[in-house]
Amino acid sequence: MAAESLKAPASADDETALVVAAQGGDLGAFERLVERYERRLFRLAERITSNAEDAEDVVQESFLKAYTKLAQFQRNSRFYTWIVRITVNEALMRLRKHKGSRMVSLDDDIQTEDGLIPREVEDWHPNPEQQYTRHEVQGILQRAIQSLALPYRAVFQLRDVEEFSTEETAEALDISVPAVKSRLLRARLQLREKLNRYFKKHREAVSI
Amino acid sequence: MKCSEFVQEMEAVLDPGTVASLRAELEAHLGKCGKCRVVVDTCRKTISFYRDEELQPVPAGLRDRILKALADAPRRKS
Repeated sequence: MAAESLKAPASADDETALVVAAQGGDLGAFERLVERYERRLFRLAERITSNAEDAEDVVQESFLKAYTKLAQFQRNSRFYTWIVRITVNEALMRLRKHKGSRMVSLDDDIQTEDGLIPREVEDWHPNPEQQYTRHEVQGILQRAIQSLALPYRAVFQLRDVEEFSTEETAEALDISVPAVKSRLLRARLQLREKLNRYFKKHREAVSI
Repeated sequence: MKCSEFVQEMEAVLDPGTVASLRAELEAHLGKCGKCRVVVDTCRKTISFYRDEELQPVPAGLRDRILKALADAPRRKS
């Protein structure tokens, strides 16, 4: 795994200095913020839209919106948290434009027992990633998360990948804290079940 | 505690900051229940896979388009 993916996006102090400089009119400082966060925001946008071209547009629009509204950013939260919220909104708007607002909702009541009771309980290979090439693992992870319903994968991405707090996730997605908790549990269990097929100790042959 | 109750509260085991009394109850269940131990372990691995996933470069040309859009954008100073 790349070292860069293991650390926090950037130190808060360093980020604050860049934001202050950018708010003072230093375009170069804002470009440093683009370089720093473009990959994380692209991954987030692609996870929500399920489309690389849409994700590109979303990331471009998000940086542009952040830049033009930078004077309004009060620095009460991290810049990264702020631009993630912008990116989530842009990605949802893009989805709604394509699919219609009724088809794209984070408010859907999806409180069913499906996926809440683990169906298969079998331990995984100690180092399951060694059973596959890095490229194969990327494909398995990508397909598994994209097969989750939008409310689940959005919550999982923000809480478990971006490591937002429950409250930050609720605010970014405009849903309640209990909804975040409930969806996170279901997202984790469903993903576990999907990955189980590939990573369990006694797996049958599965096509990748 | 039943396994179904444990699964409902599993977040408390996976995430820090859990109330000590609840955590103790969950740990007690885990000590007796191999199935729930496997569910917790594989959930932890699931989270790690995605959290540690290598970031891929953005598509070619995206950064140039962003920087051009920024250069063309009007903006009020704070």
